[in-house]
Amino acid sequence: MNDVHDLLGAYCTDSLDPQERADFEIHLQGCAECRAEAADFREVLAALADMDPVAPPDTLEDLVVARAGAASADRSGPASNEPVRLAQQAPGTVPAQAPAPVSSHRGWRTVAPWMAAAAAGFVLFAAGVGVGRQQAPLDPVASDSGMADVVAVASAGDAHVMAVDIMGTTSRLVVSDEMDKSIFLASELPMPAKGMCYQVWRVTQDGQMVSAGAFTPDDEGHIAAVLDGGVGDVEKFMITIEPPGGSDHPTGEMLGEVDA
Amino acid sequence: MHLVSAHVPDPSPSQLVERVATGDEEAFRSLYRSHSAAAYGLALRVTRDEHLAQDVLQESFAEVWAQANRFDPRVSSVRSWVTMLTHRRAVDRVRREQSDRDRVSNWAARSHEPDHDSVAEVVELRAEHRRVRQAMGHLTRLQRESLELAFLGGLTHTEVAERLDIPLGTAKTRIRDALRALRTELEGDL
Repeated sequence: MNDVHDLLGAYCTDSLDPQERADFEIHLQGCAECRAEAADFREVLAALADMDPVAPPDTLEDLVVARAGAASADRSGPASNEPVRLAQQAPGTVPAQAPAPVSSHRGWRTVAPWMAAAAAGFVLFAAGVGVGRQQAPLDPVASDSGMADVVAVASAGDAHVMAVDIMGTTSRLVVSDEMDKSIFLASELPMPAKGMCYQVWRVTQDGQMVSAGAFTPDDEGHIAAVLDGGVGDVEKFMITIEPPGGSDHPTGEMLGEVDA
Repeated sequence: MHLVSAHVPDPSPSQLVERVATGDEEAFRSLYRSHSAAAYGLALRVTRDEHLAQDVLQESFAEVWAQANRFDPRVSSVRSWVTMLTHRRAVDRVRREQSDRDRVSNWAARSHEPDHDSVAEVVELRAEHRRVRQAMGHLTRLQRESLELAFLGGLTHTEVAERLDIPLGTAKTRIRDALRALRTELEGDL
């Protein structure tokens, strides 16, 4: 492939396929130049989109408000940080406390994982640019030096990005064979109830399941952490919900898995 | 105590989003009213279907509501944020609803139709529209077509390349070059 920067236009016009988009979003996190240009491009595209305004039917406004769950009657707040009651959920369903729009109607979180990835990417992207949010999405477990390691793996020449659906959001596992390391990136991951945590498992070729780390998202649902262990013999990664501090073996509900 | 509300200036778009983030339904309605025509117009362009476009509009504003607390005015304008959410949703819907080939031929068939004859209530053109049209006119044909197919046609860059019969790498750079040229021309306007 030629210069990765060339993809910026196609990225901003939503013309990349999901894998390319995921890869490019990793690039964006490390490329201030592309982020700045992307912001400019988006303003241009907004002006372009504005060229042919069409008033929607009047009746749509109330539907929009209802669909968003914005009607005053059923306000729980878009920014609700209420813990999610995991026990009541089947894998892949939308968290009970998630914003209403996604829970009805084949929600985007369940139907279109790459859209969720796109949204998550935007959040990371915003986090990288905004002064008030410049703090990198840090897993509370990881230290600052941990973040540098995360970036190092993410920007490795052979970094391979895999999307995995967890709790209706799309997280990513990035693997670099050269560095023999992997990282776990999550956005908007609901806070598990009662100190429970998310635990990532490496499933090796001989069928063993070895913990690669236990994580709790920050207030914005971010996790960005280097996983324990190498990647050479990993067949797939699995994510479960586990009691505080994690478990030696998976005990909780399996939330997602992805082939390495 | 200021009881005369008429003296309170209209909130700016980003102030509106701030209020939406606190769960203010009125602010949400007001944000919807000021951005729905542009968003709906875009959704119609991409989906070419009124029902789909209305669905897209509902979904994208649901997302506006849900993500308002994450909006950062230093990163983007409200308009470009809403546009991005709407465009992604619209593109997602058409890619789900139609096979790729259908979409390419649909675009080919319909791009010869006159604009929006059937669609009512086209809002008045603004000065910015003229400048954007002008700037679009200054692009090369390949740049303009690549950008239109990708953004308004909702095609992937692979499809753009196929449709225009150009190499994939060329399609990518044409889309980018078009955006760069427009940015340069419109600098200061946006």
